[in-house]
Amino acid sequence: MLRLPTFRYLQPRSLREALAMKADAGPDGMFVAGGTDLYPNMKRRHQEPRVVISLMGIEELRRLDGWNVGTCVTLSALSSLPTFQRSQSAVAGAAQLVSTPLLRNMGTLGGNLCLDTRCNYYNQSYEWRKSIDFCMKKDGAICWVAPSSPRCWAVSSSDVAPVMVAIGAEYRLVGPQGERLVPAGRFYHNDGINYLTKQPDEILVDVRLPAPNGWDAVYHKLRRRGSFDFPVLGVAAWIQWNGKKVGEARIVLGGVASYPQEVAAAGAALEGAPLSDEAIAAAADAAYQPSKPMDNTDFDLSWRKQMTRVYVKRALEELRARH
Amino acid sequence: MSNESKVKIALSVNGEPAEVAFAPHKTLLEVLREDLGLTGTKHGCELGECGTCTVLLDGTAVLSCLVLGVACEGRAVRTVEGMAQNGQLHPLQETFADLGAAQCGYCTPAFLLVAEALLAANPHPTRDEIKHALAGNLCRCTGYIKIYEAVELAAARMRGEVAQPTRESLYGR
Amino acid sequence: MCPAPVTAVGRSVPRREGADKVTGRARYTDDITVQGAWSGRTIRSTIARGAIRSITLDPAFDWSRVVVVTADDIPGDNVVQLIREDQPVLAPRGGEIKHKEEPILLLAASDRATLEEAATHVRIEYELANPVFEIGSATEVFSTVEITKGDVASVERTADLVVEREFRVGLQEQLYIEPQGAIALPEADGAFRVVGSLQCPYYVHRALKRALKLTDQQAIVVQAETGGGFGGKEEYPSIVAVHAALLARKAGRPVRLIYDRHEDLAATTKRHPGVIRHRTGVKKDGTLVFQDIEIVLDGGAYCTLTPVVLSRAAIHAAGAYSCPNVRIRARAVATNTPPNGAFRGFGAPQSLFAAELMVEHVAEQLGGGVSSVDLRRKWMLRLGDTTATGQVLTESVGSELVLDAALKAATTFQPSNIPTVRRGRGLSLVFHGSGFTGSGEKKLSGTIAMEALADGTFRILTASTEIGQGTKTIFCQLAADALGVPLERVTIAPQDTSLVPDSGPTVASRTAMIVGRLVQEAAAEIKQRLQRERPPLRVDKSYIQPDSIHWDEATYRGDAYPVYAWACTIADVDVDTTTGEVRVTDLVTAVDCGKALHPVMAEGQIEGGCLQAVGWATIEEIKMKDGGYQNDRLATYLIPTALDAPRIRTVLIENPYSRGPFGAKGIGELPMDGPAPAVIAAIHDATGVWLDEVPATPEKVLAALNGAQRREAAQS
Repeated sequence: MLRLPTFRYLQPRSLREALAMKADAGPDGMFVAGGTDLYPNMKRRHQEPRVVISLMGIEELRRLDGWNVGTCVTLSALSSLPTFQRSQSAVAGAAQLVSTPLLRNMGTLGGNLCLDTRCNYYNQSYEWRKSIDFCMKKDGAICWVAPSSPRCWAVSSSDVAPVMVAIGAEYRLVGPQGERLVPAGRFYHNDGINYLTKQPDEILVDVRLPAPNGWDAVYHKLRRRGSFDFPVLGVAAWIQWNGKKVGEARIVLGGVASYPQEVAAAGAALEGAPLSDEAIAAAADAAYQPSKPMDNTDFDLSWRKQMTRVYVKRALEELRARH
Repeated sequence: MSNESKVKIALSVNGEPAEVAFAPHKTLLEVLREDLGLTGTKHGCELGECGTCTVLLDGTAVLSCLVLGVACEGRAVRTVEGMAQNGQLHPLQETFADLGAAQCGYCTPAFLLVAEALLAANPHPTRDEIKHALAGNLCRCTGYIKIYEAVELAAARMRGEVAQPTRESLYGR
Repeated sequence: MCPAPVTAVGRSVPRREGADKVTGRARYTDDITVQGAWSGRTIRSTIARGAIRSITLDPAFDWSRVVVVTADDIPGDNVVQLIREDQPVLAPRGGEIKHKEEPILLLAASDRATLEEAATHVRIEYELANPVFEIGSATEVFSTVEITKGDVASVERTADLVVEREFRVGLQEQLYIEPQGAIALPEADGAFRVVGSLQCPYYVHRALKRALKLTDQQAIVVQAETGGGFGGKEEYPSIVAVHAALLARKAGRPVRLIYDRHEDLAATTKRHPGVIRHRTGVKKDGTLVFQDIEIVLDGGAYCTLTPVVLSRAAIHAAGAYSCPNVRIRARAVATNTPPNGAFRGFGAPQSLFAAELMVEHVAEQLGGGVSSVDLRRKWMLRLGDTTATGQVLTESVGSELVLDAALKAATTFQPSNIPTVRRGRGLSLVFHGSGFTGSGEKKLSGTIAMEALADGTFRILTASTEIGQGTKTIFCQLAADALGVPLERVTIAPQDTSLVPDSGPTVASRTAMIVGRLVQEAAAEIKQRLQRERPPLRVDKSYIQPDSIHWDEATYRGDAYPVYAWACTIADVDVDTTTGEVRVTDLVTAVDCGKALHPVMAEGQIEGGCLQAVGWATIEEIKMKDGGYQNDRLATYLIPTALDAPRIRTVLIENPYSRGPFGAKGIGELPMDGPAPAVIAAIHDATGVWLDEVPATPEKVLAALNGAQRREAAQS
């Protein structure tokens, strides 16, 4: 059996207590929620915190208050709420598409939003990584995906994050310096190592979803099987309708970069006109251009790039069909 | 792990109160198998990628390989060993054994518990709902068909119906 | 002697170990607690080819808490006992490394933490050599097979149409859900008891004797409950067991060696990948003139069972068809990749994949309204026909029965109503030799014993193992009916080499048919003797090759198998033409099993085998990097989930075989053969494009669709 390394496990009851514990632990401390991302990574020695601080006992993080969702709400709970299925269907739907029912019973919204980036050269056993002299994301010096690159190209593999960026959700963070609200789009960095703008000692407390107000969004996921697999491409599409016309639109791609990648040109291609076949094709094309998957996930990268066009088109057609 | 301090927790295991001491970084899977002697819960990957180690935690199906033992203080754990009552097999256990849903049997405890949680929430699942509920558990022996049939028959019996399995298979010449 | 019992054979009676499996009482290897046992682990090569220059144990680490085993600690021969003597138990210092993950050193310690730490203090330095990874550049040949029927060269020019095609099949992992593992316990008088997850107790027994220099009595092998095998636990457990025993010997205490999933995926055997070339000649009316077939399989770095896999591949290469002129040239080559080995089907799925698609290609090129089903009817082996090895089929030939039954059972074909999705249907017709190839059964002479006990019960003693397929249940059914006693009065002894005779390995679709027949015969003999004798009685039965079976190993002529099982599979697929994604929605498979001894278990074998084949055909893909597998976990080696599995319907056809127990034939491997070519044919039916390889990944399907579009555009 693969086992966890030794560590201290702390179970704070309040945010303040959690922050104090993290301050005590310093860089050796990490927060954990459902554990479905961190514990496998710890078992494979991708992350080696000496102190693990569980957020699951903090009431505030499990709260659901209108469209404000605590980050320790499980993905199962999020996807099965009738109000969310009705009025936040992209969020509920993306949560429903994460991994498996078992994992969703444990995994949390916050965990998925902060999911570690993934790569074929990183998500390997310790021995495997050692045999290639590791990579820059952990224990090594270079990026095997792009050996001349100064940065890590591990892939953002969250299903829910692209939706949050697309719908313009806001994240509330609490840290030693106090509280701040960050738009989802500014929470992520296109860097496989420093993929979050969150400071390690900050806690993602809740997510503020925009109230339903004439907008609609969908999420489409590409993977090999009907369950388990991370997205090799995710497309979140959001439209603020203005009658029959598109007022504003955002297209966000998951699984192609180290962050949920908004393609502004794709959204712009849709604005101010009805969602015609031509407009959809233009947006799909605009999304296709900057979609530059690297050869570090399942499937061939050129196929994954081609799929961007197909999936953007499908997402927009679905939005059109139900408008 | 004699050189390490142990933690002690109290929890309910298969309806019985239990106290158990173990190294604090152990998963529930390890605690069940190594410290409580309940080896009915199996391990297949320890990374959440096969579903083989499923148990019910407060009635919810979870992967015991990704739950820390210390996080189970005061909670109720149900494993395959707790399914039979007073020597009487659970209807799911009966149908899994009778309808060929258990071949090598290694993934069986996990499937049983997921199915039990499903039927508790939804006594009348469709074939499609069963598939979705079982989508986190890998089986390499059965092709899943006999597992669906077993869940459907157990569900019918638990609803008090006199039922025969819906047969995918034809027997003919 | 007792009232007439309800007949057990043919009824789906409760599985013998079923209650244990559904209650968690069944003890798999890692469920067994052994007082004072240490844990072991294997240190493996990180290079694909070279020599070990040095092995250094870091002096800064306290090695007194750890047991270290190297090749120098092997008391017997440093050979994994199998077909050839090429694979060392542990690569010796100065010795050659032939593949990544090759075992070099073994460690054991009282606790996991020490063990893990010790592993980081072993340093191995290598002398690198140039590895060979591709079949095309391989020079070392493990074995060759040549099968000749008629004379291809002399009739070549009489064919009106010659179709040539090359097919490729990829690696596949067995992916039993329980990883490999063994526990070795030192016992009195220098004996070692090994309890493990395994298919073939006597393979392990022989391997232990050889490497640890033990007598028959000193090597004791016990099968624990085994969580799936599919061939993956045929030969590999010998390595795990010998390693565990070497550690136990040096430690002087029990040692557990349980693989985690990563090690299991990275180091254990896979299905042989290969390239198969066909040249088929036909007359205008479709009459088969000749088949010229070349097979190359990649055996990996060591021989393991490769020659036998190649043999089965070659014998099945012409498909379930009767052709007057056949030339099959097959060879297995060595590469510096981890050794490939046994996997359900054992070479036949590879060669039948090519053979079945050839029928499709020939039908397409013949045109004129001849369907591939018509062609199959025309070509199929029937009673009295002769196979490629010259075997005359004298009984239980189910080709037409299964074809008719599958066509009848298939539902009305409904085209897709989604504009971007095209639906297609494909069919395959296959046969699979039950039992060992050629004179295998004769040489093996598998033995079982049966005892009539004083308490009125009967006990079967066999080394045939239960790995999920139902051995324990079926043997008891056979014995009960042959004895004429209720099922409850028959028991089966544990699979422990100190108790049971060598019944041969649990492989090759031989258990129910060959060993089951011995059980039936022993029971009949006991019944007879009980008319004049009193229990306790014991009868031993060994396989005796019937005089009517002739096989010439040198020429590959004769009765390759005692009998064949037959299957026709119809697959429906949905192909998304914008993405190339393939979803197998429906499978109907009609199987001539001789007699369904236990219909539910027979169906279970078929359904499970079909899904493995669908996985191989669609999503199971291993990517290589520097001679090792990139897929080292279940997030990257993907097997079908409940949401990926098609609806599977089985039609069991009973077409008795006179020397099978109650007419039964072996069908364990057969379901692995048919679905892959049926899926590829269905993709063609849906889209008009041919893939001549598996897996049919969306990348390949879409590329083929785009290629076809470009060709069409160029033509118009």
